[in-house]
Amino acid sequence: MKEHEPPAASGGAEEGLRREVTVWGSYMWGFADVGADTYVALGLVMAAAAGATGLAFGLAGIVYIMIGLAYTELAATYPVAGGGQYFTLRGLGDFWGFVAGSALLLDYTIDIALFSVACAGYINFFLPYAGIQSSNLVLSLGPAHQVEWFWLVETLCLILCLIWLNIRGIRESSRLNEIVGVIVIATEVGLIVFGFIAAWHPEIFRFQWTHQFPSARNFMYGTSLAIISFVGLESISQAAQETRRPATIVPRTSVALIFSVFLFATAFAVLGLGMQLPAEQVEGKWYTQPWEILGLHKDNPVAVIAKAVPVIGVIAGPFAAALGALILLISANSGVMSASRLTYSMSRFHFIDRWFDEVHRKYRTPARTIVIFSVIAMVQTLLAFLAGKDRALDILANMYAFGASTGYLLVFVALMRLRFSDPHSPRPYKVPLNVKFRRNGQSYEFPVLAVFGALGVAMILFMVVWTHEIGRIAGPAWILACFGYYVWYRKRQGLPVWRSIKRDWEQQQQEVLREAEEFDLLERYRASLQARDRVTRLTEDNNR
Amino acid sequence: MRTLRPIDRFQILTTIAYVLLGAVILLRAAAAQAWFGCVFGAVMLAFGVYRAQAIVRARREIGR
Repeated sequence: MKEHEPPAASGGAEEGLRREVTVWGSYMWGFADVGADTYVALGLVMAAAAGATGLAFGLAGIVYIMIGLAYTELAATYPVAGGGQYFTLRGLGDFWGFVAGSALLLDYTIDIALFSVACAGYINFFLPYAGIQSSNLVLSLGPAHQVEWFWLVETLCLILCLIWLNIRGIRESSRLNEIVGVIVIATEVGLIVFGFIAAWHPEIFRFQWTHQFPSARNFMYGTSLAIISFVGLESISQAAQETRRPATIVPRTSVALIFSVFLFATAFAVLGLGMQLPAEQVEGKWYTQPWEILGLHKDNPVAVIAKAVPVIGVIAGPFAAALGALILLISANSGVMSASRLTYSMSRFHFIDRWFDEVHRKYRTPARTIVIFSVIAMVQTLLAFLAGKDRALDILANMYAFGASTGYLLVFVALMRLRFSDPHSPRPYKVPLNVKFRRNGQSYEFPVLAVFGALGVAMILFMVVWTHEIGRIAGPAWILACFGYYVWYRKRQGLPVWRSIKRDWEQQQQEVLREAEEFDLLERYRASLQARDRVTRLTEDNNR
Repeated sequence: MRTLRPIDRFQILTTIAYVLLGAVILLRAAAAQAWFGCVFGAVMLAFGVYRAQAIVRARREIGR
């Protein structure tokens, strides 16, 4: 892709966002986002993948681990707020950087909507204790029938709370992540340990596998939904910009995050499939299998599992529901923060207007983006609920899977490309499985794992497009709408649409490393650039 | 050697949980011939052992 001279140099490490996230905060920021996904995905995947839910989580998890390792390398190398959008921009240029950015932006708005809906779902776990059945609180609105109005109103109120919290500032929300995150991890560990020791029956689990295996299409649908259990790694790369010494901290926190989240998600699936859950009757039909019952409770599956654990279930059920609601709210909050960081990054690189970039005069937070993308999330929520009863979570999850798989695919391609286009940037962490070779006096390492990762994500994307009726239309429609805006904005600014703006990445990388206080890496980077320049001069002299 | 911070204790506890639980799941699944359960138990056990090694290595480095 050819490059274009910018009207004003941009893309430097400008001041604007504050650096105040600690090591633990960085981990919990990621955990709050990724760890909460299981609370949403479990019921959805159970309903689709039936007795093979564990396998669906396992397969999606393998892809996720590769994505996570790729993010770890890129976030440690380029600790900037843009995450996947920035990596793709660096590797593949403006156009693909914009596509990745818009796909991830879709995910963040859906993140706000989906996790707020799920949070309200866990709150509704308590309604039967007050003699209220949330499933009965439905009404018809014009052509829309069976709209769960109570759940909808709850969700919209939660999103409004998040707007207020985020405009007030990141300090409060980060601290909230950290405290609640510890409680949630402790509870999840306790629940899984108690569950596997006291309530898990391997015979039931085996029966699910042998007698309740889903059709190929349902299994694919389930696997593509299972990937949403692992979405959110963006947040740790975004937190990298606000973490001191990110090159040291990011690999440690994100590798721990990747594997712990994978184990938690798969553990809940395996545990749920091997439990004896009370049979339920809905509209005259009896549901007896664990996957059927958890599929019925898409709104609060983890609480249903906790409630079924002997002895502690009476307390563990409501406790897990309350914690689930809290961590899902934090996850929705991460969506608000991530959307504002992504738009901040996109505006700096002339993908969207700098109008989005303005920070609040009093609170120094990106109030405009917080409001705009949260309102978009509210609209998405409204539309999802208007589709009818029990559809909201499915619809939002469909779109979530599309945005995530598109963005991740581009990140893998960017990772491979950057190993060649930017071999001089120090990489404190590299994905495993690299093939070393030399070309024109320069040594390179080709990441074989990125090829497997790209194939895995491409497979998930294929499953999404094939099996997700809403996602395959709404997802591309969102990206096209964003592209329309991009064309209008770039033309108005006199910037190329298809080509990239010329940027001094080397200078910017030095600024990023300096700002991140990675002085060792900065020295190594400068030395590498000087060595390259020396070789270039020698070659030129020899040619003369 | 540096005293354990709450976060270190938390990590050690979760690591022990991974190892013990992984072993329990592996054995119980093997007894019931639930092969996917065996795989999952083995993965959890392996992760616990990996974390335990990392913690021991980190403690030794701090000690030096």
